[in-house]
Amino acid sequence: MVLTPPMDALAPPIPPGPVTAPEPVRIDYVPRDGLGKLTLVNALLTIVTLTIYRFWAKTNVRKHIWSCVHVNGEPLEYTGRGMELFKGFLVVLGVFILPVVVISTVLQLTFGPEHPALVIFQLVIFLLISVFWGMALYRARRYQLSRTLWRGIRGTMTGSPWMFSLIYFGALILRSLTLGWSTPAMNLNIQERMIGEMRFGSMPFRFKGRAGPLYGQYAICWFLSLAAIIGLIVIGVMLAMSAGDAIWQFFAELSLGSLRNALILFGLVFAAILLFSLAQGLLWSFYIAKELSVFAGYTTFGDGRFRFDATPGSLVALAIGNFLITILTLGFGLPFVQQRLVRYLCDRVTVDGMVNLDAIAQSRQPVDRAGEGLADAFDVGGI
Amino acid sequence: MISSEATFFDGEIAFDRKVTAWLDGADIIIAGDMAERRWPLAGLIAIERPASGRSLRLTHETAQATRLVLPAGPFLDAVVAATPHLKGGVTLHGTLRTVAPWAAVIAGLAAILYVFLSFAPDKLAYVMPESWRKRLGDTTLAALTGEAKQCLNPQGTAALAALEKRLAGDTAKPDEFDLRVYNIPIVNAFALPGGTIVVTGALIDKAKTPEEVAGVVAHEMGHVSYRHAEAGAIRVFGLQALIAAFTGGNDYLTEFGAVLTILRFTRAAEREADAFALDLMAKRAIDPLGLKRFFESLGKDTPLSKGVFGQIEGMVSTHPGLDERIGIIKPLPAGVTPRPVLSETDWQALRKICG
Repeated sequence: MVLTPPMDALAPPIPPGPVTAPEPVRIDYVPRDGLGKLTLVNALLTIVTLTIYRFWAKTNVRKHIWSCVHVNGEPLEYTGRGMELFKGFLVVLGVFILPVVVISTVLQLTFGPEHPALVIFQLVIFLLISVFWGMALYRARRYQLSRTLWRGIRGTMTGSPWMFSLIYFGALILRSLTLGWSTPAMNLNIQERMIGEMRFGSMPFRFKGRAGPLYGQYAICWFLSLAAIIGLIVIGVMLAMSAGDAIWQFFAELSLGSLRNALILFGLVFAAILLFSLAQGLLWSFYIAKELSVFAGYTTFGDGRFRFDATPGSLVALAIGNFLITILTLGFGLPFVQQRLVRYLCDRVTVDGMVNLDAIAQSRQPVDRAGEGLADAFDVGGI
Repeated sequence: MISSEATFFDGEIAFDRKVTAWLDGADIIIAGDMAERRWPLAGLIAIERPASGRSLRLTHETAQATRLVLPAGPFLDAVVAATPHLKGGVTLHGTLRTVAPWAAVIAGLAAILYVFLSFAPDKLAYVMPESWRKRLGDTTLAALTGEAKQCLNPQGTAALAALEKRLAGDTAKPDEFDLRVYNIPIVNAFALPGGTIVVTGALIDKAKTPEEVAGVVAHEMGHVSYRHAEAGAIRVFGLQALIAAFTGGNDYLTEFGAVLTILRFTRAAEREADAFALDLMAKRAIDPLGLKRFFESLGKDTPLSKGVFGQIEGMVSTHPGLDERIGIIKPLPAGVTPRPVLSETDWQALRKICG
């Protein structure tokens, strides 16, 4: 058996450089003009090109947002190209989307629209998408890191997207089997890979910790959420009972085609869903804030340990603001949503301790030539 | 000699070297903190477009992992002035680099559109298996007729069969055409995938002679023979596939919209069907002037087909203009004596098919 040395042992010796010393790490978001104009141009070109421009649009927005993130005064640089994203899209189009469309059309024509074969095929596709979801996330992060330059050094992921995909899929299954109770433990597993396999140049991020400290907060949120669901049902039933015969009258008119009643019903259902999501969001923001700050505390980079000052209130404000921007701009305001997200991270993430940044050497990992096809198809993968 | 403090990253380690940069002829020289480079200005690449009052990140074509950050100031202005290509602007090379990929993308799109929406449907329509044609026809028929009832009066049905046999003759395969009347209150006829031809009850009411109905049915038989509806259906599937592919989602057309798209044929297809109908009527010794009269009576009753609106409608609708269609209908060639399409008894029975 041949022993292979670790990747960095293969790297050529660092050219003689000046003496380096550890320094504190500071992350700032320094806004720049031009995002509004960029958003407008992107929206127009995306419409004109039947959405094909979206890869170049995404790239331009990343270039802008990346350059606003300063680490110790030096901005990040995004070196990705729209063409790379477009190539990734073409690959997924050829090996996944087109075959699925063609096969489902052929099945529909051969067996008719409601045949079991078609249902089975759709289930298989659903399963495939669930299995590859994690892969899409991992590969998107790997692509973005490989296109992120700071002081001329790029990032990378060292693990296997297949392994991550498997764990992610397992977490999905376990979550439904355990009614959610596996979430803290499995999220820890997921982040162990997602953060622990991240590198910046030659320096790895490390992620180490236990899920135990999360379970107290999780239990509180879980039971309150259950109580909220029961409460909503009870309120609904009580309202229906107090309305008495009027409700039968209402549905009788509805079945006779009353537009007024249809609108009222639609409004009520919409309001109930909105109220319910808001209540759930408020409730779970406490757990999410806890998880973010605990996981940040488990993350180290060199001798620096991360701290994430995530609070439930600020998370809810961020989510509601981004929701409103998305709705009011019909989705074209996405760059501002992403800016708010990155800004939130920069404002609230700090690094305790000193890191010898000067000594970080360039990554020797191979670089993906095309990016994010799967993530684009599934519409995941962050920014 | 004008020079400037600058920051240099060598792309090997994350050490920010404090260097001094100055110009030497057509070269820029970077030195300090154990780094030394001499770069020809012609190979400089700006990471971003230079803007006054802002620092500029540069790299060089010979060492694209390196970064040189020049602070705003007179030296940076001098570098930009000496290196016009940093400003971007219009150069042949730069224009080609931008235009060429886009030209390729647009040409590719056009090719894909042509293959999916024109070439492939017309060819595939003929190789589509019989079972698929029938199934497509069933789905389209259900969506088209909706709640409308099929007219099945026994005497009328017998007369309809006689009309079909008179037109198709003995040469046609027994299930080549499936002629049906539905109680739909608009004057129209449709050719569906799989050979089903739907004539509306209103059309039969409007016709004054069996020759008029025969002419319309002959036209629809043309659509069936040329597989126009099958091509339309494949076109819709292709369009759905393209939309799904481009948006990455499943924005499928609604069933109703899809049916309308399947049954709206191109002008070329309508002309093909008209020529087929005239040819068929000549072969079966059916007076084509019946169809002519029918078109003329349509024109009289449709205010939109007159005047300016009529001309606009002629341009935008997929059927060739009514006048053009009436114009190409000529009497039977000399020596061919027209024979009646249906006996008077059968014609009266057909008129009562929905009754």
